[in-house]
Amino acid sequence: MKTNSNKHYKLALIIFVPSFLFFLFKVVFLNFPLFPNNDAVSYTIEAKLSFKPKYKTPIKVRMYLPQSKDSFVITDENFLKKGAYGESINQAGDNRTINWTKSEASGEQFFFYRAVVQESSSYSNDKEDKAPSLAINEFIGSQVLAANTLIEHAKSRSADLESFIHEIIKVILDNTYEQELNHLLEGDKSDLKKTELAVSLLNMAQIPARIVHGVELKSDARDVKLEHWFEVFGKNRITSYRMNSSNYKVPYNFLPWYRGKNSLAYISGGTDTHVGIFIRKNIESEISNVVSEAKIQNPTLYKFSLFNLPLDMQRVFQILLLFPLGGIIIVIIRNIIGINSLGTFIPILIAISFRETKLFNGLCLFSIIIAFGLGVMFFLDRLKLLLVPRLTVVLTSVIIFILVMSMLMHNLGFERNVSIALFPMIILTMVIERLSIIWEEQGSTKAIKLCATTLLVAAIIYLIITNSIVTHLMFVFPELALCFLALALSLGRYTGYRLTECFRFGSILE
Amino acid sequence: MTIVNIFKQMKLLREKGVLGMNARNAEYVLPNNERHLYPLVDDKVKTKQLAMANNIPVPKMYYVVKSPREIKNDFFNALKPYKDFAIKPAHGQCGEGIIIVTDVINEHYKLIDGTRMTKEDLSYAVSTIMSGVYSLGGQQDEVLVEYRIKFDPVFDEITFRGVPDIRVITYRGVPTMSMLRLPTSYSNGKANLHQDGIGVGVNISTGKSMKAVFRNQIITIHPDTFVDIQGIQIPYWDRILELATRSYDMTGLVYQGVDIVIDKDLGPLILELNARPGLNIQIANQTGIRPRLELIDEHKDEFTSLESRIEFAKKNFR
Repeated sequence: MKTNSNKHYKLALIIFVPSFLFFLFKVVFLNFPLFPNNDAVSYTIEAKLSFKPKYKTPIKVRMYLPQSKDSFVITDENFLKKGAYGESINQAGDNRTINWTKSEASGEQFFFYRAVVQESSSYSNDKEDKAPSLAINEFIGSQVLAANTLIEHAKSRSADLESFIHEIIKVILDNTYEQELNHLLEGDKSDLKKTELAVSLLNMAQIPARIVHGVELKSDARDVKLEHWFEVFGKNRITSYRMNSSNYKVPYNFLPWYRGKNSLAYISGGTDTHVGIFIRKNIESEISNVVSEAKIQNPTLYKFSLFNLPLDMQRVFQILLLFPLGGIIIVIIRNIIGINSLGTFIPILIAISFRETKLFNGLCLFSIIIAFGLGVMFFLDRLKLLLVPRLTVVLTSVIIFILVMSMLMHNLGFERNVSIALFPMIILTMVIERLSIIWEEQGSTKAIKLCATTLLVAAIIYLIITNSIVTHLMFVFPELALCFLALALSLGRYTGYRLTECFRFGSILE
Repeated sequence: MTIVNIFKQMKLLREKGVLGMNARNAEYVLPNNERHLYPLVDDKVKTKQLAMANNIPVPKMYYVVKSPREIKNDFFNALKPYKDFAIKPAHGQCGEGIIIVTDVINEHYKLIDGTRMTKEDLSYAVSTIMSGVYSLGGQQDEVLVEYRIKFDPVFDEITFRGVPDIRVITYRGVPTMSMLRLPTSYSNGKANLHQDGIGVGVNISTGKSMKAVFRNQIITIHPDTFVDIQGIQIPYWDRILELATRSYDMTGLVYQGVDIVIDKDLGPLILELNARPGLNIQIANQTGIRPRLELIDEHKDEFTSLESRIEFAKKNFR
């Protein structure tokens, strides 16, 4: 029986037309850009400060703020807080601080600081910092001796200020003076401690220097760690150095946040302080003007735009909005091309996790994990375990395997991207389970083939969803998701042959 | 193959009336087969009970394991009287998870492929099936123990281990297309085409085998036994058509696949039913199924009785 109902086409049209018109409206009348603009780079940085107040204790919060200086301009900033706090922004020495005060509070407290930072080409340092007074000798007792040894070593190998600083950095990073270093660092081998030591040594050698804390501006990062470097005051200019054996120069994308020895935030009257920093490269850089105009002219429109959400939520939606696209690709691959993969949406999840690991690493990692999991599975087969415990054992051993692998990679110096946090472990376990059955029932060739096609499909989806134009479009124009919905609807009753069926039924035609 | 060639190929397939996967689902399975009827065929225990209630012969059910704690005692007690039997997941597909025991010696179970299982091996295998490894979506499954089919000697020369079966597709209760599926040494005792079994087209009018397809190529002799496959008269053919037709009245599934085996003592038995039968039957018959389906649609008002449907099929599909 042929159903003549075209209801799904009508519905698709009803959904497609308005969402596409809305898309066009945004492009034509609101000037939302169709392509990502990489020229005018701006970043949104967000610091989230949280703590638990002590019972009936006055609360005083101090946090450092970045400032428009050097090659960075803060174009917009705002503060969000829970509850009525007194608020004041001060300039304290080289730094800008914000102070929040309240007589008492209960429940977890939050403060948000959000700023839009732009790299500016003008290097106008209108407000030149005065050289800090040399800190009083901070070394005690035998540390002075050790410090002197290091300074002497550096002096003996240097010709001028520049080379002296290089030697100081080298001597701290190298292990030639291991004993002295251990003594001076007091067992703390963090970057911060090493930078602090460099500053102290320079000060001891009568060279004015100070420590700088800042963040690296990169495209997408959550829970960003503070970077530390130091500035040395030369005769007429300030130079920055970083504790890095390969390159002392501070990369241009390091945004100085504050200077000095304190920590980023100080809270009296609270415990469990936590500062989380998020950074996102702005897609809206170019449209921020448009949006802010739209904000004035049409407040409701702006309210419903994604840019109005907190940064971490924006990040989540940036990923979520890629799913509809992935779904459509799956529809096309399955129903029009006719390639089968493991599970329906498993390739999308794998593709999304490839975003974290990059394609090549992801493919390797995935294959290694699957191979390992299959090995465990076949071993467990001999122990005759029930399904769910068996799956749990596989899941756990896969995670431990990844843990060991990450540690190995770390120690071997392959720091780059073993970030497997988002790797869908549970789904991976199901894949392993499914694969091991296919392996036994239908043979290894079939299982490997299926695994390979799954990876192929995942790779295709990955290549599409990581395209910067695609990501940009999906995020700036979420209404496109509705267009894809309409497309999926209209493909819902596609009855044509799948491409692979041309080959499958080929023998009938001969 | 260029894009133009692909379109040409698709046009040829359309002219031949070959039914593709999308068209099968969108035009035949989804609009016709009502969802609530699926459990009748997806659950082999239910199919069997329904068949017995309708006087349709099926392999006798010895025991159904419904919960894991039955495995230890009840299951083995129930097996005691039998020397041979087949163990199947109630929700299995494509013959996955089936264990065929041919002999029992001192609590050791001899399987059809010659290997042996201890009592522990068997109870582990049963509990694996129960945990839903073979069922769609992995939900808890039941395990069925039934009569082991001793197939009719007519197929002896063209079978390599395993059970040959006959697949009939019925549409609106009319036998539309059928094939004989033969296991080979490459197919691990299974008779599915995509698992390297042989598909042999069967003439609905006469019940005689026609061309055969193995690994997507037309063959005339069995690759293991070198015996001519063509022109074999399948015994009990009228009975087979009758069973296939009656199973439509039993389930109400408009587009249905019926799997039938011929036991040397009991004659044709229905092994299982399928609400989404595969499309390989077209390859085995070297022709598209769509013209037949459309012909049945045209004459759907003429089918007043079981006999009229069989009559129609025998007259039109050869």
